Amino acid sequence: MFTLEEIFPEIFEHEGKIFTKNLVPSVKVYGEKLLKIDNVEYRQWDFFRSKLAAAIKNGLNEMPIKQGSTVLYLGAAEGTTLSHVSDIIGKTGIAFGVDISERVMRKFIGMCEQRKNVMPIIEDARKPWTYKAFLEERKIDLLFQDVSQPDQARIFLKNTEYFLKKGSAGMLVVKAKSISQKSDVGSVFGKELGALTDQFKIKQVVNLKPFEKDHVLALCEKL
Amino acid sequence: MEQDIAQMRKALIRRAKKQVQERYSETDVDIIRAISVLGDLDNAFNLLAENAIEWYGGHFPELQSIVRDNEAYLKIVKEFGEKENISEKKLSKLLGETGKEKRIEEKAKSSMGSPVKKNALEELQLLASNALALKAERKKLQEFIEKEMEKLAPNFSKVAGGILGARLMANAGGLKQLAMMPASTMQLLGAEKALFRHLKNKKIKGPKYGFIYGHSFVKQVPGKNKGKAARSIASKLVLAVRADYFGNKKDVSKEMIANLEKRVAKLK
Ligand SMILES: C[S@@+](CC[C@H](N)C(=O)[O-])C[C@H]1O[C@@H](n2cnc3c(N)ncnc32)[C@H](O)[C@@H]1O
Repeated sequence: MFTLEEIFPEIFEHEGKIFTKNLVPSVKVYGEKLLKIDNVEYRQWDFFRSKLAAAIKNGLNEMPIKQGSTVLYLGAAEGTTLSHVSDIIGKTGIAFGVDISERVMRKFIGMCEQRKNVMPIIEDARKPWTYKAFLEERKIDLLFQDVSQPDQARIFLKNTEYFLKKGSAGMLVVKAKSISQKSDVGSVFGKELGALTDQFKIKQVVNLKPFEKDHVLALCEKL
Repeated sequence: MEQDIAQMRKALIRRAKKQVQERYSETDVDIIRAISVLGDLDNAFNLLAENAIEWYGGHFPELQSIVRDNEAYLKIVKEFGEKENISEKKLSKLLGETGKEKRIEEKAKSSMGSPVKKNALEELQLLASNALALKAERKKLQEFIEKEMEKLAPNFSKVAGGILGARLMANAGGLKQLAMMPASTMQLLGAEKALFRHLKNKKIKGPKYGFIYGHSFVKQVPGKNKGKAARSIASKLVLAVRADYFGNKKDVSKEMIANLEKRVAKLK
């Protein structure tokens, strides 16, 4: 018998693989495997394609995204990760996906047309005031950022200033390579995350090896 | 509340689609049209200018060897009409100090040209001002192309130069085709005829460059090194256009240009 264990709300595990319930049954987003159990369709969440999945696999011990959550996601790209976020938050949640590149957003917009809880915003995450109006003072439960830019910590803090309240969660993917090729990986993580400690309590730092080289995901809470 | 969200979502999707459209679908088409018109305007201007110069040459044959620039020549025709009206002072006002004003006035006074009929002169001046209008349009169009190129492919247009960049893109058939292109093809864009001749008859040497020949860096190096310069430029152009097409608007052009400058200094 096939059994799925719910490891976080709406996130399921089976034989070391993880799944979310497909919000739009029979539609794949990025070529992932679909699985049907008891008339419910699940989508496999690929550790190599999604850093959030890699973090879960590597022992993330708390998941701020739940049914009904409001998520602001910076660096939406083609929406690979966001599609699973969309599955998790379900019909009562909202996810805003921001990305600077029209190219990657083309595919993402198509996904937004099918998934009614995801909204596309093509703007530079360095300029939160350009999309502030779209969020309409909604309380953001989670600010997620994966933009691979050298000033990633600054971008994260800038958005924090605009959108996060005390107690809100933050997840920041830090790519050491994008900061400096030379300085050693460990110290870069330290330096980048150190910049956050004024504003955040850093709860956990998950290394994304072997799915991503030189990446960590930091889970934090707004002070 | 739920309705608000649905409305917001629709608006955001519409907005994003429009942004994508603006970024991709039209701009390269407009630029490709414009660059073709730019060539036609050049041809039309030259044709009209040659006619006007030949016509006015009967009246003031000495002028052509002093004023080589067609545009300046036509301005003189339009402004003064009969050569007897030409004065040093007014010339420097019209064309700026060129150091030739005095000679032009002198030559006009001692010219061996024949008088021109009043109604013929009117036609001739009209011709000159039409040609000048084309020149003005050409300048405006050039600015348009440079501006649009900068928006569409900022890195590529900085490394190539706006007009050369637009020529390359038009020849490739669009930004996407350009972004897929290997450097060796980029280097020879615009040299198709020479390439075909070479392919038909291998005794004829293959071309080393196409439009890239017009790049300011190629111009700076001696003939024997132009091929090498063209190759270096082409390799950077390929990276630049890929950064624009696939990347996220990072400016990578400065480093590329600095690199090319170093390379060109060695080839001089
Ligand atoms: C590594 S990808 C993100 C992948 C995505 N998180 C996923 O797992 O599906 C990084 C993205 O950040 C975007 N990006 C880079 N700089 C940005 C900026 N300043 N503002 C918004 N997005 C940016 C890029 O266009 C790219 O799509």
